[in-house]
Amino acid sequence: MNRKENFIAGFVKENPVFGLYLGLCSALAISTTLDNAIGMGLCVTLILTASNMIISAIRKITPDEIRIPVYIVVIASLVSAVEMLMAAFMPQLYANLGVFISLIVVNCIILGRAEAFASKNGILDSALDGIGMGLGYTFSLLLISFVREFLATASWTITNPFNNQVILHVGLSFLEPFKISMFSTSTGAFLTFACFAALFAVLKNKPAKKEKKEAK
Amino acid sequence: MKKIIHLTVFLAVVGALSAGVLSYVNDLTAPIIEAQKLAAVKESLEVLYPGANFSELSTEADETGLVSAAYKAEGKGYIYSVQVVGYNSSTPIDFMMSIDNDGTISGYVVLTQQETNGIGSRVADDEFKNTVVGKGINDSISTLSGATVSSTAVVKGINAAKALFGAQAGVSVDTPSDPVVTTPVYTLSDDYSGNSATVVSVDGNTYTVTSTGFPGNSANEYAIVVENGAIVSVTNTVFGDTAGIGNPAVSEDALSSYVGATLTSEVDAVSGSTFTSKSVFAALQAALKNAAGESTDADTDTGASTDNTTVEGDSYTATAFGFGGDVTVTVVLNGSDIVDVKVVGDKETSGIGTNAIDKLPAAIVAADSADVDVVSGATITSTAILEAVQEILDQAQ
Repeated sequence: MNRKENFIAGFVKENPVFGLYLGLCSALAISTTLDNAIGMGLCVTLILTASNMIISAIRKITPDEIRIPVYIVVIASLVSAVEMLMAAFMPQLYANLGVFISLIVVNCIILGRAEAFASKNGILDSALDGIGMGLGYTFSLLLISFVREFLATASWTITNPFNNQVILHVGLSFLEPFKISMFSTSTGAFLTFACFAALFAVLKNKPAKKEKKEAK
Repeated sequence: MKKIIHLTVFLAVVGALSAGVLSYVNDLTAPIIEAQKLAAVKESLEVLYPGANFSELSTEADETGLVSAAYKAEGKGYIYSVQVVGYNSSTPIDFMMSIDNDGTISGYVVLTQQETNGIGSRVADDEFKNTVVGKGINDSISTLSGATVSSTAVVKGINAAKALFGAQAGVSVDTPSDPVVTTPVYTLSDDYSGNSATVVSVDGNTYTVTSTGFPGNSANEYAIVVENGAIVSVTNTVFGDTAGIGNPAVSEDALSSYVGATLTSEVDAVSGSTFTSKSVFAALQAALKNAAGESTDADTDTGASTDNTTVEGDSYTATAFGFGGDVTVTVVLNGSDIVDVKVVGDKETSGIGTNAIDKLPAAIVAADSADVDVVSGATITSTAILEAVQEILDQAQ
């Protein structure tokens, strides 16, 4: 598996949410709006990349017996640091994501990649894996929240998390009477997720032809 | 053995490194997070101390747990955010108060409350605010009669804030005893028209009277025995007020305290059940008036505090409540001409209310009506006199 394939794998074939069904708890909970999805996705990408790099860097000196506690300490420190930075510089996003930031510590994507990839590969590969997987996660969140936000509010809004200014607002007001508020609840999250998971299963199980297309 | 030491040391080093990184990030972000928290509440703090520099203080010294946040306004005073549960147990009363550095309560703002509208909600009104603002930390604050539950809770919260202020400003604060409950004096001649007391039936000298207590509740019914213008016994036959709150007012103890009362007696309301107590007073009044052969329907008693219009030939007498007590006005009428007005009000303040008693009669005779200017500085007594005169004129027609 070359680096490029490795990087792209995170989007479809090994997409952590729809392909591997990892990190679903936070994905379902925070994918109510595009803002949350972007914030959470980038947050996870950052932590995942950093933790992959650190764990890869210390993989040779880490005693095998205590590797899991070491990974946890590394990940927890990164999450706590990111959490404090978010609280300081992106208070609105921090308030929206709430407890799910702290829960990144036990997000199985991160620990899973540390164990499955970073502990066996070099720093550069691990970083690429982290970015790829993180963006794959972000991409999944965006897909779910794109559907959910539109069905629940008949509009899409993207705001700048640093100063809360609206960057983009697309609203289809004629659909306003038809919005389905259920999609802002967990029921809507499961329905949306199930549809996408089915779609991805179809894509994944197609013969290699499809994959080559993706790779180009 | 060597292995174990290696593992322990490795994990310890990893832990120490991450702790170092975290404490660095914490140092970096803590002041910003703090400032943001303050900015969120600054708007409400500014109401109490405009333009001051605020910093947050710990509320650990607060033993009651009622004070949720404390702020210091640099050089000006302290602000306390307090939550207390009053009558509505689902939504606490949330208020902020400021205490100046010299120990004077300088501000009181209720942020949210969902107490009963018009009753417990009075703790958010100026009437209560004015009794709080300006008090020193060692002054006691009275609760509101008729809103005992809500105001007692608020006063407890204020006392908690005062105690915390004492600890933070280094001032000694007397431990306040339980909130002072002011018992207003009720007399059976007061106006209870709001209670709509009605004599339902009379059997010998036993009067069955209904009257409502707490607005909106169904009426309470009392069996009252009257002899020689005095109450012999009172029993509550139907209780329509709020269970658990109004009950003390109709307990045997409370009701037996009204035995012997006459229309001019002073009576005590049961604290915490003021509304129900007033329904008892209204019923007693109705029974006594009925016994005396007067109108029993409280609703027809038009004058807010005017009663007992006695008609004596061309001379009419009425009383109204002035500043210190009853003011009795006697008017001599010749047809519709006011010939003479005499005012007796020995409880009015000498030099103030008495001014009105001296000056108004002549003015009324001159104007031939109650439509004369009140004596400035003696408005309350003047108004009482004019009300009584108007009452007489209305009756004479």
